[in-house]
This record gives sequence, C-alpha cells and structure tokens, in this order.
Amino acid sequence: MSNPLKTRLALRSAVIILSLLVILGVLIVAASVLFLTWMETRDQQRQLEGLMSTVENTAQVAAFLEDEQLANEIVVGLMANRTVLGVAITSGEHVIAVNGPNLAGLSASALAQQYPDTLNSRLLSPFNPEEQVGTILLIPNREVIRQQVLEAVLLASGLLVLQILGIGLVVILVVVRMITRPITSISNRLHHLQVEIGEKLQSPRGNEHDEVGRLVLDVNAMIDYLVKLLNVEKNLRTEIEVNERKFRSIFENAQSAIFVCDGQGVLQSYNLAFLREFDLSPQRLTSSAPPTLFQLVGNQGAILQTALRECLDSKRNHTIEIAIGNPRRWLELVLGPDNAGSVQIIANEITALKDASAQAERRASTDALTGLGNRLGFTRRLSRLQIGEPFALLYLDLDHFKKINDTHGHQAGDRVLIKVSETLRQLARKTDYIARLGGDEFVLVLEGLNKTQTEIATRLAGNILAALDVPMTIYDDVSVLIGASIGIAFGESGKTSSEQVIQQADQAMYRAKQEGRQRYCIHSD
Amino acid sequence: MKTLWRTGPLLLALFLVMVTASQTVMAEPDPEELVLVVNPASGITSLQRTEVINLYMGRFRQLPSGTTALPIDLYDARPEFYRLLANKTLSEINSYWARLVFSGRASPPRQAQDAAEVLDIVSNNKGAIGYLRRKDLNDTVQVAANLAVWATEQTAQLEP
Repeated sequence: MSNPLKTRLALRSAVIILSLLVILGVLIVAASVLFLTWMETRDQQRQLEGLMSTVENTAQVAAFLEDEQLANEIVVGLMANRTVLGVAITSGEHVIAVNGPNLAGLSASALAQQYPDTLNSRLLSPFNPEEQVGTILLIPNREVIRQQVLEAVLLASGLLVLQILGIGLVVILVVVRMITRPITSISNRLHHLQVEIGEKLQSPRGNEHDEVGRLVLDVNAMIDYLVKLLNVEKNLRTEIEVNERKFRSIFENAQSAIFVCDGQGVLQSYNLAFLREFDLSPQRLTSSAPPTLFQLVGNQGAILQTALRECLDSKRNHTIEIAIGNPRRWLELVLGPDNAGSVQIIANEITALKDASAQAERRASTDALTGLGNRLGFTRRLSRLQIGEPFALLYLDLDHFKKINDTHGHQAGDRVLIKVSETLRQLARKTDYIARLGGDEFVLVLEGLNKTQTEIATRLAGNILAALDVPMTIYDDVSVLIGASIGIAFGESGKTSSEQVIQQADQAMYRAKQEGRQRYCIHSD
Repeated sequence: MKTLWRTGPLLLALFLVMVTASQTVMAEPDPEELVLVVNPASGITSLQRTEVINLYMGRFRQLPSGTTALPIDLYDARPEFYRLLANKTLSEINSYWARLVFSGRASPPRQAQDAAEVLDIVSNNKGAIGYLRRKDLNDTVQVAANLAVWATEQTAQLEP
C-alpha cells in the first residue's frame, strides 16, 4: 500500500501547512497567553486600584471620624466585588471595619503581614492633605483573578486557534484548487493522450498563461520532438530492413558456400550453397547434436583447426585447400576473422581446377612417345625425395639406335624406343621411376638404395641387358638387335645434386661403351 | 557692576520703606478679619488649626481641657471661615455633613444668625467655640486664634 502522504500533493502540503501553522500557532498562543496574562493581571490590579480610589473619599471621612458604620458600608460595598477577598479600614491604629476570612481581630500591621500582596492605600484627612488619618487595606482574591485571567486568555487563545485553523483550511483549499487540481487534470489527460496520432495536451481552463500552462506547452514541444524522432527511427529501421533483406538474399543465393563458425568449429550460420557443397540436409544441422565443421571435413579436420586458430590469432585472412568426400573434391576455403571471435568462411569448389592443373603437370613431366617421365619429370622426382634419402641411378644408352634410325627410318626408331620402355617398365620395381631424357637415353631412379645395396641395382641392370640382348621385332618382317650400355651411380638427396649424379652415371655408362658395350659399369669415386 | 554700585543704595532705601509699611499694618489689625473665640473659663489660650478642624468637623467632641465641645457657625461668615480653615467651599462642607446624616456619629456645628448670638452662646457655655469679625469682639470672649494668619500659612504652604 502506498503512503498517501507521498502520493497526494494536496495532503502533503496540507499536513506541512497545518504543521507549520500549529507550530506557529503554539508559539503565538504561548506568547499571547503570556502577554494576555500580564495584561489581564495588570487590568485586574488597576480595577482593584480603581475600586479603592472610588471609595477613597468616603473612606477618608470614615477614618477621619472613626465612623465604623460608614466604614462598614464601604467594606460591604467592596466585598460585593468577586475579586476582593477581604477589606479592612483603619483609623489611626484601630481597625474600624473589616470583612474577609480569618481577618477579624487582627491589627492593621498583622493584616499587612499576613497578606503581602495586599493593596494598601493611605487615607489622608479630608481637610488636611498632610495628615494621615487611617489606611484602607484590600486583599485581592487571587484565585478568582486567576480564574478570570484564565478565562479571558482561553477565550482569546481559542479565537486565535480558530483563526489559524481557518487560514490553514483556506490555504489547503487554494492549494487544491490552484495546483493539485490542474496537475491531476493534466495527468489524467496525459494518460489518455494518443501521441502517435499527433494528439496534443490541453491546458486546464484558466491556467493557459501561468506555470501550469507553460508546463503543458513544454510537454507538447517534447511530444513533437519525440514523434519526429520516432519517425526518423522508423524510416531508418525500414531502410535497415530493406538492406538486410538484400544482403540476406545475396548471402542465401550466393553460389559460394558461406558460413560462420567459432574457434571450436561450431557452425553459427550458413547459406544454401553450404548445404549443397557439404551434401547436408538442413535437418541434420538443426538436430540436437549438429556435427562440427571438423567432423564435416573428415580427415582434413586437423588442417582446418590449425587454420582457424591461426586466423583468429593473427586476425588475418587465411586460405587453405582441403579435399573431401568420395569421389574426392577439392575446396578452397578463405577464412576471415570477424570482430566477435567467429570466423567467416567462403568455400569454393576447385576440383576441376585442381584436376586440370594436375593433368597439365603430368603432361609436362611425361614423355609423349613412351609415356615414361621426361627430363623435367626426372628432375622433379629427384627434388621431391626427402633430404638424406639415398638413391641409385641407372643411366641407359641404346647401343645401335642411330643405325636403326638410319636404316629403317624414324618410325622404326620410335617403335624401338616404345618397346624398350615397355621392357624397362616390366623389369623395374613398382617404386622405381623411369624417364627418357631424350633420344635413346633412359634413366631409372631406384629410391632407398645406398652403396651397400649395389647388388639390387646390378641385378636390375643385368636383367635389362639380358632382355635387350635378343632380337626385337619392330615390324612383322623386320627384327633388330639393339643392346645397351648402363652406368650406375649412387647419390643422397640434398647432398649430391641431380646433375652431379647424372654426370657420374653418364661417365660410368661411357666406360661401359668403351669396354665393349652390352654391359654395365658402376661409378666409383 | 558699575550700574549695581550706583543703584544699590536706592534699592536698600526702597526695601526699608516696605518693611516699615507692613509693620504699620500688623500694628493695626483689620476689623473685618475673622477671629476664633472661646469662653474665658475654658482654660484655652490658643488653638492650633488642626485642633480647630477636628472640633468643627466632628472628629473631636471635647476640648483639650476635657470639656464637651460646642462649635458654632456664624451663618454669613461660613464660606470665608471654611476657606480659611480647610480651603474648602461651603458646598463641599455641606456634602461632607450630608454623607454623615445617617451614621449619627457626628453632627454639624450649631448655627448662629449673627455675631451677637455667637457672643451670647460662647460667653454662656464653657465648652463653646465660635468665630466672628474682629470689629464685633467684646470682653465676654477670649480670642484663641487669628484665622487670617492660618490663611497666610496655607498660602505659603500651597505656594512654596
């Protein structure tokens, strides 16, 4: 329940005004009680003194003549007054008339002693102002006087209190009429005001030109301002919505897969192309346990994870290529960090590009005639060896190729080359690499062989020589005997250059030719 | 100062003339003045003003000697007498007595129509006391006071 003192302005001001009035009233009443008491007491005293002066002449005579009867008349007359407790008239030292409780028989001086506040007046001779003939003593009835003073003061105070209450009431009425009611009226109108249709607050009647009216004007100005602001806001929001729809449409309909994930690979948003690219149904991603990005890329998860971390750490774009699925498809992922700790990824399929490039490379390193590797392929093969891996090189040169070319034509020569390459392919191990360096020169790279395993190389060389030492049918009616010389050299990747090894093998092969052909020689340091 | 020295003797002479004139008046009393008289056998030679007031206003009923007092008013001279005695008008005196009519505590002086009657009463009553003009005096009464002197005293008191 709310405290009405805090919710009601009129009540609060009333309480404050009344409180102040009560405090003020108490002070004023207290002051006026003091003042009235003093004044009333003084009046009573004066009244008593007046009484005494009224009877003074007669009392003088009575005292002058010691006339008890006359004095008694005076005393009785004075006693008729309620404020008089007792009266005594003396003539000389004799009390000639007395009235009042416990006064009879007392001497004049005893009377004065018993009642210290006695009004005492000297009675002079009526014929000789210098002669004192007696005294008149008047004992005031303090109780009655106090009573009368109290009554007078109470009456005055009561009137004062009534006046204060009346003022308070008037002030409250004025506050209610002039302040509270206009404010309440404004408040009620504000409650039902339809600002959005441009409705304005109206000033209470009679308040148009005062503070209340100004307040209303201010409120209206504020409403105007707010409505304007709201309209601007509304237009902006519409614009933003349009833009957002536009961007969303671009995002949704992009041919590239676009998606956002956090550092843990949890997907946050994605477009249709993403679903297509990763062959996903929307249901799978909205299930209670959707797969992480790492799970979607299979064995490429580690690569992706590293790339994500680097991207977030360096705050730079990062491009990687991964292969997924079966049949295998290549995707190029461009990772870009955003400010919220997530990573935006754009994925494009590059399988065709990748295939084309691989094919081009294969073609470049392949001898078109024999299908073996060419010089480029050979060089690449050697450079691809791991550092420190040993290998053996067999350098083969046909013995009588030039003569066949000359006698049977280039076509026959080509046929010979093809047949030789077939033979080499048959004899070589699967891991061995065979290339035709040009003309009738062939090389075989035997990976993993060092000088202690010379026997494997020599056995292969022997087998090759044996296979080529029989006549070779090149046409149905033409057959030739070819023969070959082989040089063998050993190398170690990173230690000996390919040129060096080829040169060594070439030298060994030359030695074999000099020694009579159809044989092999091993290069020796 | 020079002026005073010249005029000084003249002022002194004037002063001396005035003193001499007043002594001449004192020596020859005014026959119209009022004098207070008592019976020669009363034993009174003179009365104070206060004593006279107390006797005439009813406060004292006896003379200092103990004789019952009998104050007498001279009817025509009353206004002058009370003016000289207490500086009161006759109406004030009358109202004083009127106030006391019912108490019976005191009564006003007896009225005499002329000086002869005053002389007659005073000479025949030991306690009588009266007043008359000096010209009407004879040997049957004794003068106890000169009222004109009191009047002078009163004036002196009133105008200090």
